[in-house]
Amino acid sequence: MNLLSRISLYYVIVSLSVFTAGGLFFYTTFRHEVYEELDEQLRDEKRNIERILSSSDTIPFFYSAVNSQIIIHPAPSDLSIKLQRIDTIIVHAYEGKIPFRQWRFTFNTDKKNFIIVIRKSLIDLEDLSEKIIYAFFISFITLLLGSLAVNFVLIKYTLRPFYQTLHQLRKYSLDHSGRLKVGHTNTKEFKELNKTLELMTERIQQDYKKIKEFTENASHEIQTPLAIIQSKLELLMQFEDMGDQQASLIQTAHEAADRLSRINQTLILLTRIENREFISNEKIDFGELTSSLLSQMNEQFLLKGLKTKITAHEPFFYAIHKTLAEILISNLLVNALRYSDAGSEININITKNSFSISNPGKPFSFAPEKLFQRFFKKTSSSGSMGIGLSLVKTIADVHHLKVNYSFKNSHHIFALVI
Amino acid sequence: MKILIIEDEAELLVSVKSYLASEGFLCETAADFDSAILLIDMYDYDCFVVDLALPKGNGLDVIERIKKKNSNAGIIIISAKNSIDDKLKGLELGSDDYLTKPFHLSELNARIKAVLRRRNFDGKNVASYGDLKIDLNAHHVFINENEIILTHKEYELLLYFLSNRNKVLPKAAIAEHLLGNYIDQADSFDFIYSHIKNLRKKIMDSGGADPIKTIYGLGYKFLNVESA
Repeated sequence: MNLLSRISLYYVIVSLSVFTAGGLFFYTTFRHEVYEELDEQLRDEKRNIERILSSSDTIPFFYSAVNSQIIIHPAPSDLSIKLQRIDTIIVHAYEGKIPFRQWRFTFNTDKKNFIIVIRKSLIDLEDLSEKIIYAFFISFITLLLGSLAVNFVLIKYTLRPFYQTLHQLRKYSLDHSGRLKVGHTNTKEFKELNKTLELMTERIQQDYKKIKEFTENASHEIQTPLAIIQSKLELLMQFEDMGDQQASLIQTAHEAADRLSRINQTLILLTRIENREFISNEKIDFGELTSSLLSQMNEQFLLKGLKTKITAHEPFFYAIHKTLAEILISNLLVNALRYSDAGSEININITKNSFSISNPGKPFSFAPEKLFQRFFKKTSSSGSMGIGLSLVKTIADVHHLKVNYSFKNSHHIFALVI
Repeated sequence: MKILIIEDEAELLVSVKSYLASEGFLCETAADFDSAILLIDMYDYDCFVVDLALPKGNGLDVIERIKKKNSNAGIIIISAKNSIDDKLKGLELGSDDYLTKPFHLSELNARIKAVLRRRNFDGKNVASYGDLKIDLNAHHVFINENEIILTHKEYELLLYFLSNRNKVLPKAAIAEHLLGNYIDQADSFDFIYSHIKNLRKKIMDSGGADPIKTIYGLGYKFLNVESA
C-alpha cells in the first residue's frame, strides 16, 4: 500500500469513527430532549385532566385528534395503577401505524375511580430524526470526500520531492552513476533528507571506489610475487638428490601457490567482468560452442564414463564475448561432470531462449541459492575452489541472463534463460 | 638458440634464465626498457620473452622495435595484467604468444619451443627422441617406426613432456597446460594421472621403454633420451 492510500485510509477510518460517535451522541441527545418535551406536555395534560375530574362528577368530553388522544374510563374502586410511560403503536384507520408516547394511570376522586390513557404522537419526532440523520449523513459524506480530495492533492504535492528522491535512488548504481541527483525542495525535512542522501551516497561511492581500487591493485600486485614463489619452487624441484620429505614439502607449497594464483586470477576476472571490460555484440551460437567445448573435454567425460547428449530444438544465440561464453559453458559442464555418478548421462537442452544442462544426482542438503556464492563449497573434501558457479552467475548477471537452478526427477538442472 | 628475457622483476628474471639455461638456451637479460632496446639493436636473438610493464617504457614498444628490425624471432609476452586489449595489441604487433603471471616455468619453456618449432622446422617437421618419433605437422607418433594412436590430450601431454625433458613437472603445471585456466580443477589430478598411465601403456605396448618417471610427491619427469 503506498503512502498516499495509507494516509487516506487512516484519514477515512478516523473521520468515520469521529463522525459515527458524534452522530450517535447527537441523535441520542436529540431524542432525549424531544422525549423530555413530550413528557412535559403529557404531565401538564395529566394535571389538567386530574383537575377537571376532581371538580366534575361525570366524565367530561375530551377532544382527541390524530396526534393527541385522551381516553378516560371508569374503573373499579380498588384498581390503582402506578403511572406507566411507554412507547406504543396505534393502528389508525387512514393513517396506518402511528407511533405514540403513552401515559397510563388511575385517578381516584372521592366518589369515583378512573383509568386514564393519554397519548401524544411521535410521528413528528420520527420524521424529524429521519431528516436529521439524512442531512447529517449527506453532509458527512460531502465533508469526507471533500477533505479527502484536498488531502490527496496536498499530500501528493508536498510529497513530490520525496517521490523524486525515491526515483533517483532507485535508478542509482554505485558502478555507473556519478553523484546522486536530487530535485529542489523548500520543505525542511526533505531538504535534510536529500542532503543526507547526497552526502551518504558520495561517501559510499568513495569507499566503494577505494575498495575496488584496493582489490584490483592487490590482485595485480600479488601476481608478481606469486610468480617468483612458483618459479623458485619449480627450480627447487629440479634438484636430483632430494628426499621424499623435502619433495613433499615443496609439492605442498607449490600446490598452495598454484591454488592461490588461480583464485587470484579468477577474482581479477570477476572484477573485470563486473567492470564490463568484456563487451561484444557478436552473437554466439551456444549449441555450436557447447559442441566444440565438449569435444575438447571429451576425454574427461569418457574417463568418468559419462555420456553427453545435446538436444537443440532451436538455436540459442546471444550477444556475449566469446571468452566469457566459453568460461560460462565450461564451468557449467565441469560442474555437471564433477557431480555426476560414473556412467550417467548429461543432457544439454537448447531452445530459442534457454540453455540448460542437467545431470542426475541426489538433492542438495543446503539452500540452492548458496550454490552461486563465492567460495561456497558443496562438500568440504571436493577440493573445488567454489568459484566456478559464482563466475557463471556474474557473467550471466552482467549479460542480463537468468541462471536458474532446479531439481526435478532426480536431476540437477542449471538453466540460462533470456 | 639465443633468447633475450626482458623482465624488471629481478628474481623472476633469475628463475626464468636459470630454467631456460638448463634447457640449453643461451640467455641474455634486460631489466628495463633502455637496456632492452640497446640489446635488441645490437644483437640477434631467436626468441624474446617480454614483460609488458617495464620501468621507463612499455613492452609493446619493445615489440614494435623488434619488428622494426625485421627480426624473424619469436616473441612471447608475459604480463601480470592479463588484459585482452594488450593481448590483442601484442598479437597484432607480431608477438606469438601471451602468458599471464604467475606462470609455470615449464609452460613458458613449452611455449618458447612451440614458437621456435613453428619457425625453424619449416618443411621437415619430424622430431626424434630415442625410439620415439613425432610428425609435428600431422600429429603422428611412432615408436620404432610403429605408429601409436594417441588421443588429443595424450598428444598434447607428450609434446609438453618432450619440451621439458628431464625436468620435474609438477602436477599443477600439467593440469593447467591440459585444461586451461578459469575452470575449477578439482578432479584434474585424477585426470592427468589416468592420461599419463594411458600414455605410458601405449608407448610400452609398442615396445618402447617407459619414458615417464613418477617423482614421489612432486610430479612426473620425462627421461632424457638422446635426440636423434
